[in-house]
Amino acid sequence: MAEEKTTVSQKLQKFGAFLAGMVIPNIGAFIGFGLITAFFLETGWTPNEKLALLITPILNNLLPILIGHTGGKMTGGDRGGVIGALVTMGAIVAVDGTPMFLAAMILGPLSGWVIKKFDQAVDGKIPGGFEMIVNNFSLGIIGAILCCIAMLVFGPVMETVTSVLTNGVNWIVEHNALPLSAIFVEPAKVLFLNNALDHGIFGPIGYEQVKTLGHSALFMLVPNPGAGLGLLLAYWFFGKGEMKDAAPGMILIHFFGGIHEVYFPYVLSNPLTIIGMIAGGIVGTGTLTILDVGTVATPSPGSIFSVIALSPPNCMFGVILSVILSCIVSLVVNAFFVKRMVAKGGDTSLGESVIPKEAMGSSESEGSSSDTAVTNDSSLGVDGLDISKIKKIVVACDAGMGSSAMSAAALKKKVKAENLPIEVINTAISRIPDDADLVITHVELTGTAKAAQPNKQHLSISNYLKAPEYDQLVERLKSER
Amino acid sequence: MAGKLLSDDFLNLICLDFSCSTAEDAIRQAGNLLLENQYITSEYIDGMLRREQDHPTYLDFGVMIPHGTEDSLSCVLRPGISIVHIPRGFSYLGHRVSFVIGISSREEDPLQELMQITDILLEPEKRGRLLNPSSKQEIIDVINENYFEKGEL
Repeated sequence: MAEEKTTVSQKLQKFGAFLAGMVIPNIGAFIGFGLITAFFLETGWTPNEKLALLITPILNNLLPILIGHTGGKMTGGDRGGVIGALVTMGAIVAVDGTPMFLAAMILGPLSGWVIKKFDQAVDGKIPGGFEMIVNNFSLGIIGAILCCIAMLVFGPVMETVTSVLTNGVNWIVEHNALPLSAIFVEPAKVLFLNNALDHGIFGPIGYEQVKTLGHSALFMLVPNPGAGLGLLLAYWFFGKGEMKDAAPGMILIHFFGGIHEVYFPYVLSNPLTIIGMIAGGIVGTGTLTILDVGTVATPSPGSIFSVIALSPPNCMFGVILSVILSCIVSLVVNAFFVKRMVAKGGDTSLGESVIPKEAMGSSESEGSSSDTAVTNDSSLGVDGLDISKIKKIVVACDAGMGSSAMSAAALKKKVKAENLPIEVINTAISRIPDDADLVITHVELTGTAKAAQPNKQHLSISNYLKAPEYDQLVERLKSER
Repeated sequence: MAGKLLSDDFLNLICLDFSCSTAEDAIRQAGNLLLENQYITSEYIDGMLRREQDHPTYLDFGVMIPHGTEDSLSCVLRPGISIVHIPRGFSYLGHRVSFVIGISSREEDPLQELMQITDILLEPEKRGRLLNPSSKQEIIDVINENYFEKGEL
């Protein structure tokens, strides 16, 4: 099975899609947070001290918990979501005052995976009538332990990361190499470290510079909306599908609303675009350095309005030029990567990318072991699915003729017997329609199907007709709606 | 309810009491039935064999469903199936195969008889009749009866 091998870039993309999958369902909350910040922060449009009290708890607690919850859900279903939220709390409390998005992206899926493994281990061994109590206490106990570990581990880890970053920034400032900071600023940004960088590292150093120079370019490193605008424009002009359609709205939210978080999933799901972001960042910061301009405080939110409002008159031209130039460079470079992605038929949906089990690297090697048609590696399958929204199921095989047609007929028979309002069709893997909610393939083809449709839910079957997964799936569909 | 799905012409597409020891022989036999009845041109059989190498078409219950590769679809003249019954069976990828359904189909041509066969395979009593037929006519009868009972699937 030559198609089974995934290239490094496919893996990277899978990983990016996995991260983005934790963020996208929660974008609304980010926008809500961004709006509150944009209006009520002291540098905002309508400052309000009382309402501004909302900002910090939402940023530091709610948003990471949401991400941890979604991440847990992706690997461990509803129970995974609960434990993901609980464990994320450990990291949040460990490091006071820093939004722990990255930690949430690690802890959420990890703890969801742990609870799922536990559930599998005890499956069928719990005496009848005790399921509820065992379920709740097992989650409680495992969650409590993981939460404590997270608390103890993430404190020192974050301190180390922060001190490394701070040292790096100091070195860069001392050596007049500020533009190169984009090399680590941009990746850190899309991993949601933007606020930590901004308020934790660049802010304090920037204020020192303001005292002597009257302005600082450091304030602009993260909030400069130019590179993000360039990326979104590239998708708008050259993209395809949902990512293209969503781009204009994202531009409004990002460039004028200053909520940069909306473009992070774009970078995560097509990781090569980070090169364009870095290029845009280097040029933007380079412009500021050469012209010796900057702002008087951190433009927060990072919208074009706050940037202009915080630029002293003598710096105005240079700052705006820096935004424009970084936008152009990012647009040009990213246009290349976006076109390349479209040409390769890459996934263009921004939808809820839910990648069950796979992203944890648990069964990457499936199908490579033997040529026989029977592999019983798909036993985890059905439990890991988010079945709440499934309306259309696609059974796919390599050509969409025999095996998938018969397998789809078998599933259809079961679905029909239960009167479920679900459509079951069959296609070739290369022609899986965009509106499919679940893709079912034989274990030997699941790798290929996932490479073709990384953002969809996948289920492996080991037998086309008497697939036990079909009974489990229909059972879940029946009981959970 | 609609009448018969398969007419007596289908008798020509069935081969009972075939004996072979490899999947290749069985596929060739299923392919020849399709070829003799003008469903495919001969190149399609090579496509069936190639495809079997890339993606084995063994299903379940001792049934395999050889069909062509995508590049051999131009050799399909019309959609249809053929059936080869091998009472003694042959061993293939760890399974014992006794029932081979050759498929001549362009992509998503719906093959109603294939859907009916799927339905039959999932019902143990009917499956026994289909997979151990006493005559060619019995295969046609089982399929037609199921079609009469269930309608289009």
